[in-house]
Amino acid sequence: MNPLPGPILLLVMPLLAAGVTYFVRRIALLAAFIASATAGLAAFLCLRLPLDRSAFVLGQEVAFGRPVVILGQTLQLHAAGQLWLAFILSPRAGPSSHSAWPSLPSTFW
Amino acid sequence: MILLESFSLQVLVYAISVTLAVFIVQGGQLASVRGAQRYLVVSLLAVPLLLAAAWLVDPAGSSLQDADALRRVLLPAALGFGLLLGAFPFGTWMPALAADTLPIVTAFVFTAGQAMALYLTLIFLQDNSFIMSNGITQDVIQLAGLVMAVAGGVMAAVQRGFGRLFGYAAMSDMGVLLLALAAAGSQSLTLVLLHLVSRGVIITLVAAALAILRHRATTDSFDELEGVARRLPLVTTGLALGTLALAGFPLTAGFPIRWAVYRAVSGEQELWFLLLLASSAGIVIGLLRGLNAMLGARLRDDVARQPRLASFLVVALAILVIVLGLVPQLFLEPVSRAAEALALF
Repeated sequence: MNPLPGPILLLVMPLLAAGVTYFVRRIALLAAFIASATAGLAAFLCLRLPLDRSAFVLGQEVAFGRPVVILGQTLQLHAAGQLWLAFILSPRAGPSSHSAWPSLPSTFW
Repeated sequence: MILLESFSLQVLVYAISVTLAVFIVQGGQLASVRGAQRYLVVSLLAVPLLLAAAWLVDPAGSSLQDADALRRVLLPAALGFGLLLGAFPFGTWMPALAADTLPIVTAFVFTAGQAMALYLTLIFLQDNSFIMSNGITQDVIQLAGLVMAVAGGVMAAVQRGFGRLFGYAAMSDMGVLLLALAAAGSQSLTLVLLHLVSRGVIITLVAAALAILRHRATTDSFDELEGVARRLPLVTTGLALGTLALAGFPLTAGFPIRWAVYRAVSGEQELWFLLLLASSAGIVIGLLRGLNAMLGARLRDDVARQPRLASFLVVALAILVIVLGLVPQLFLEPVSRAAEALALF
């Protein structure tokens, strides 16, 4: 089986999470947790996975640096972009997730 | 955006992201659209200029060496990136956003949004290395950074609310970051990226403290905060520490980059050194004015005590701000890898 290209993983994960959070949107804390966990997992993968070889994530082989062509455009993760992405995703992962905060109960504040 | 190869497409995806982000920025706030509107207008105005810069640079490629041609690219590029990064006078959206929007949304725009803008800048400079190797470019970036840092600091001193103070302090900090990019020598990129991480923590701290303050006191205006510090001591401490860090106060996460910039400019440009000190002083004066109001003697039984969970978060972020001030090289390994990949010089 071919390893999963990194860009696919980074595009599909948030889209799946968006779908799931839509269905649980009435349970705000759960939706916020799913969104934060997805961002956190993506940030973690960006920090840990190598670009030059494949690695196994939950039993699935992932080639993080492998390019993929979507709609005629080549999508590929480079070293600089990998860490930049980790930085951008990290603040959304913790309790400071911008989507989670407004929905937290007033006891939090 | 990061996954794309073409700069023009990256700019377009950035524009789409900003347009969508405005719905988050404005979400639930009906009183004022000023912050979101300015952010949207400034960011979208940058798009044609950046596309023009990419278009002007493409046909000539590396053969573009003569000064006139370089200036042709520089003008749209400088204007476009100036708009994108909120350089003076295009940065007025920052205080407006900080005053009108939920603090954590402001923090998201100031960290993730501005990091994306900086990424576009660095990618453009990396793809067109002749631009950065030209002295004019470095002078333009330095001057833009200095003016932004000083304007933010001076304006911070005269604000009447913590929201706008936060916006101007963040603007000043972004100016210092730009100044470091051009002035701090061979290690400038590593320094800038390290500060980008620290800045994320500092801004989240200020935003967290500001969010609790607004929730408990229902305002962040200095006039109406008398005596609030007694009810919200941890929040007040977090707010003070975060703002001091944005001012580059020693032993905080904002200090290392200021120190490096001070060292870089103190030898030849003493006036710049003094202006940067004045910018830090301006932010501290603004903070002291706010603290003076908060530390008033009035009893505030109308303000509920600070919430435990959110206060714990503020304390954790405050500790991280101090740790990053004492051990700024904490994230040096991943940051060095990114700096190597983005090498501009």
